[in-house]
Parts: sequence; C-alpha cells; structure tokens
Amino acid sequence: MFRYRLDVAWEYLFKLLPYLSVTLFYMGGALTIGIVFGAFMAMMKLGKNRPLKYFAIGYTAVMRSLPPIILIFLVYHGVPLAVRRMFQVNLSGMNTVYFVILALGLSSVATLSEIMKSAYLSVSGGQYEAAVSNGFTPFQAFRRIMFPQALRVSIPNLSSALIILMKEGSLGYTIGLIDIMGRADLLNSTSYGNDIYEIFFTLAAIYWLASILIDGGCHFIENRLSLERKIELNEIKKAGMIAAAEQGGIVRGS
Amino acid sequence: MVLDFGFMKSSFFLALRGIPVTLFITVMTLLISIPIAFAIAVARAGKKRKTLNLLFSVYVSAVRGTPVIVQILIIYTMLPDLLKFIIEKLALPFNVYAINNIFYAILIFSFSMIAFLSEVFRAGLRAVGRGQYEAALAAGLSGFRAYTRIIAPQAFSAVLPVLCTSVNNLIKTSSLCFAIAVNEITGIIRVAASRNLHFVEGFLVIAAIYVIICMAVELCFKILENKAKVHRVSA
Repeated sequence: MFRYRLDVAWEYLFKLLPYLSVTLFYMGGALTIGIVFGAFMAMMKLGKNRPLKYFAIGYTAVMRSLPPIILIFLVYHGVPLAVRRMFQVNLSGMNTVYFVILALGLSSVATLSEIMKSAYLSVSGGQYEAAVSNGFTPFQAFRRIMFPQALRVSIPNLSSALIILMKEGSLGYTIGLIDIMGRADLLNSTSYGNDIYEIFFTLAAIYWLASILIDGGCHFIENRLSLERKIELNEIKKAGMIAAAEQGGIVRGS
Repeated sequence: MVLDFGFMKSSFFLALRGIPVTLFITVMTLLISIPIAFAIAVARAGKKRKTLNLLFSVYVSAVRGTPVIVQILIIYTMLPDLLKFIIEKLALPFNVYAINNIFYAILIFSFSMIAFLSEVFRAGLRAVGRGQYEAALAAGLSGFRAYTRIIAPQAFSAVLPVLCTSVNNLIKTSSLCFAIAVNEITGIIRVAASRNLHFVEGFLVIAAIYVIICMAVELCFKILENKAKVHRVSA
C-alpha cells in the first residue's frame, strides 16, 4: 500500500532544487520590505505621535489575525483591480512572484516592527542617555550603542520570522506561482498523482533542511555578535596556547 | 464603484455558515493536542531522557520546518491508505472513504499543534521549576497530585499569552482546509467567489471575519489571564 522509491525521489530532488531560487527570491524581497517599513513602524510605535502610534498598533493587530492565504488572494486579485481603477494601468501580465512578495511583505512589516520594537526596548534606555551625555550625537548613540545590542537580541526572532516567511510563501502556488511548492504540485499532476509520496517527501525534506540551515546560520551569527562569547573565545585561545606551550606543541594528547 | 456590495452581503451570510466548522476544527484540535502536548512536556522534563529528547526534538524541528500545506498533502494521502490497510488486516466492517474530511483536518492540525504546544508547555514547566515538585512530594502529595494541583496551574498561567498566539495561529491555519475540500469559512467563499469571479469582495469579507474571531479569542485570553493571576509564578 505504501511504496517509496528512493531512485525516483532522487530524480525529483534535482527537478525541484532549481526552483528553490524563486523561494529565496521572494523571501529576500519580503524581508527587505519588512525591514525598511518595519523600522518606520517600530519608530511609530515607540514615538509620541498618538495617531501614528495607534495606526501602527492597529495595522499589526490586523496583520496578525489575517491568514496568509487570504492576504495572498487579496493582493493578487485586489491590487490589479485598484491599480486599473486609479491609474488605468493593466497589471495582468505581471509575474506572480511580485504579488507574493507584496503580500508577504505586508505581513512581515508587522512582524518585523514588533521584533525591532521589543529588541530596542530590551536595551536599557540609560545607555542611550549615557552615550548622549558623553558627547555622542543621537544618531551616533543609536548606531554605535543601541543598534548592535538590539540586533543581537533580535536574531533568534529574525530566524523564526524567516522560516515563517518561507513557509507562508509556499501558499503562492494557489495563485499559480512556480516556486519549489508550485513545481512539486505541477510534477504531481503531470505524473497523475502516482509519485505523490516521492515528490512531497522530497519537498518536505528540502524545506526542513532549509529551515535547519536558517536556524543554524542565525545561531552562528548570534554567537559571533555576542560580547561574552568574544571574551570567552579569547580566554580559550589563551588557555589553549598555554597548554600547547606546556605540552610542547601537542594540544590534544589522547 | 467596482466592489459588488450585494455579493459582499450574501457572502457574509454564506461565511457565517462556515464559522461553526472553523471553530469545531479549532476546538477539537486543541482538545486532542493540549493533553498530549502536556504529557510530552512532562515526560521530557525528567532527567536522563536522551533518546526521548532526541526523538521529540527531531519531530518538533520537522513540523516547524515544513509548510502546513505540505503536511496536509502528505498526511491526507497517506492516512486513508494506512487506515485501509489496518482495517483490511483486522477485517473490520468499516468504510474508510466514508470518513468526513473534517476529521482528517483535525488529525493533521493536531499533528503540528502537538509539536508547538509541547515546546510551549516545556517552557512553562521550566518557569515553575523542579523545586516545587520536590517540595510537593516532600509534603506528602503523590506525583500525579503534585502535577495537577501545584505544577500545572502555574505552568498554564505562565504560558497563557503564548497559548493565545498558538490558538490564533491554529484558526489562521485552519483556512488551509480548502486544500482537502472542507467547507469552512475560506472553502465556502473560495467556491462561491469562483462562480462569479468576485474574489476581492469575498475575501475582504472573510478577512474581516477572521480579524473579528482572532480579536475575540485574544479578549477571552485577556480575561483568562486576569483570572489566572493568582497562579502567576513570582520570578
């Protein structure tokens, strides 16, 4: 009842892998939108302007409760309609990937603004005041003191946000985007559903591996940015050198 | 105006019929996954559980790393075959293909919710700390009583905010049921809108419905959090 042919799965792996570039493309696009506009939205949330603040909070609340599939559909069908109405421009020939980027970008603005806000708040405000009273300009204080610390705090959240972007983007296949998921769906229908296990287990494995790589990469960056880690590494290096010198150049005996 | 308000009104009433289905899927999934996830979290909290820990961390990472739509497609193809095989082996008088797709949806979502919630509860148990369990045992409570009376209330109230996010995510994820033809909110509107191509109107309506449902859930959890303040772990 259940057969899984490794050789067939292997073939499909190479049919699917090239389309990972599309997945990476919309992840990058959505992340860029999210970081740029998310930074503004985080400023709005932290700022003193009441209307802007409530707008940002409301936007985040709405985006948090919208299923990604509905957002993708609304952008795909709604944006061309609105653009045609307002600018008399026909968008029907546009590549679907841009609609996916826009939809994912809209939701990642909300997510990233929350991540940035909480990261900024996790660095104590006293440090900013101390920097300014030591003669830093406000921008320098942000750039040199607040930002590096906030960045490090936000990295685990960023890694989750990236994985979520990757997973939500897979829904682009419902509007005809040929990314890795769309390609798998296409291959499944051209093989009349005969190779469904081989195709979708391979697809799942690719997604799983990609998410492990994202997690691992972010963990690595987090460690590199950590101050304690740097001190620790220096001490280990020093201790290693002393030990090496004592043992006459042999660091590991057994 | 471009928007067809007549269709928006009729699709609103159509979508109302899908709300009970969405809520049924959500509640059943939670009823299945909360006890199992809590049991897993308790089992993993003990010392020297290396194999168990490795097994479950692989499971959690697999669920977290793959899109729900892929999980749906895989499990929905595999489960009927598996069930048919078992039923034929045992010669049970039971037709696999008569099972409503809603139950498959519940099983699939439970599969992923158990992974997420077990991590949530693990964090909650860690917040309570092992000392309290030992203290409860020393005071004469049985292990089971220590958990139900001392540990669980504190752990649950500690994770309520995260639980709220998980429930909202589950409601959002249930919109993917359209892939296996379950008639919940999204499924109904997708079918209705494809008839006259008024996708924008239909999806605007259900977007509003989802936002209202999620805000209502958040409000419920706010009330619950206020009630659970007594159990709050003092850090």
